[in-house]
Amino acid sequence: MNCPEFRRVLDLYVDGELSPEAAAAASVHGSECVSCKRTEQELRRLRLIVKDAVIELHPPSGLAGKIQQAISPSRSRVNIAAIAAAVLLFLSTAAMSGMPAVRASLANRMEQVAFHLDQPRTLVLEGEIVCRECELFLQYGSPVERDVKGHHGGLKTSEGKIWDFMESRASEPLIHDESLIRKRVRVNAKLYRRAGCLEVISYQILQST
Amino acid sequence: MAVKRLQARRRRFQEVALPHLNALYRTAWQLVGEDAAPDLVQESYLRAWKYFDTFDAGTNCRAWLFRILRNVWITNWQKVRLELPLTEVEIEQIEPYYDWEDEFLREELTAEVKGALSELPEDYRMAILLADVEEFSYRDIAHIMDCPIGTVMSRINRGRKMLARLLRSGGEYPAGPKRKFARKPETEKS
Repeated sequence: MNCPEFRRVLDLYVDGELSPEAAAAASVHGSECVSCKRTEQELRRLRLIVKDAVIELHPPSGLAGKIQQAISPSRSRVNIAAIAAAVLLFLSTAAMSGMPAVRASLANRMEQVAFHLDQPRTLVLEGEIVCRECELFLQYGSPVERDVKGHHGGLKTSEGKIWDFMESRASEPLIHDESLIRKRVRVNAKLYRRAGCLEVISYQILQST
Repeated sequence: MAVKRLQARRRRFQEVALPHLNALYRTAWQLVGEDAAPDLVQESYLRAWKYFDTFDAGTNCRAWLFRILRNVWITNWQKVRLELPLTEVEIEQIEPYYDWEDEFLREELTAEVKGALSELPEDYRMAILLADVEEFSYRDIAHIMDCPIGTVMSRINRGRKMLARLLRSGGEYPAGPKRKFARKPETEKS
């Protein structure tokens, strides 16, 4: 092995990635060439210095506990979730069958419960890009004035809710690219339930419909 | 029955996954900084827990966790990629192999090394951390970083050269390779 060959495989050599035969050849060259040996030693020292600088970092004391807690939901958390689910189920059933005045009241309470439980959080939603105004027209006959600003994309999820996208560079195509209308997408976003709004982080087009 | 299965799953996760907390944390620290590192690690563990049933017990759990960490990191990182130009260094000339021959590496370089590491493009930084600190094989690094082994070799080699130059120059990026902003980080070829 000569000097250029040695230096070409130097990373592999110090990282233990060479075959035994090649490592032996590199070792022989290192013992014969002072310049290459010094370069090898410097590289080994660089690796050690990097390791020493980083290895000393330790996680904050509460982190392990937080992870343990997250994978071991406590009884109280389970109960709260179960109770909340039961309350929502009851309220939604009652809302569907109650008198109009009661229905409005219950609907408000449902929203209050939902708001109370909901924290803005990042999640993944799948749905269809629809034009918000056109959907309102189709569903309710609301007037459409698309000539004002064209289509306005929103995300329609399986339960029929249409989520607005917060205007940003990430969401711009979803809102304004008309070729995406009726496409299925998977959106990674922060959800603001109270505002019915998604802050898009990234998205993926799934298929055309 | 289901409760017992869940308990056994949790016990196994605690035995095989949680011992790698320190390693994940120090890498996360280098990738996203001290403030965001706990969140990145916690989110990685939650994702690992979610998909723990897909983990093959005969394989390397540490590498599996690091792969998840990288995926979570990329998800977070993509969020800011749209807002901030990414620093990517393009090596515009074929460089010789390691060319230092003077002993420039002093002791007590911890702070400088951390600073220099933070100057490296993310992919180079991660490849170096995985090789030098965590001592993964190139094959494992390729799996974690989802790239060919040749790309791993290239990232480690270029990253180390840059690191050495940064340390030599006391943190100032020296003349030589031209620095260039680019949107896509995958500019090097294996």
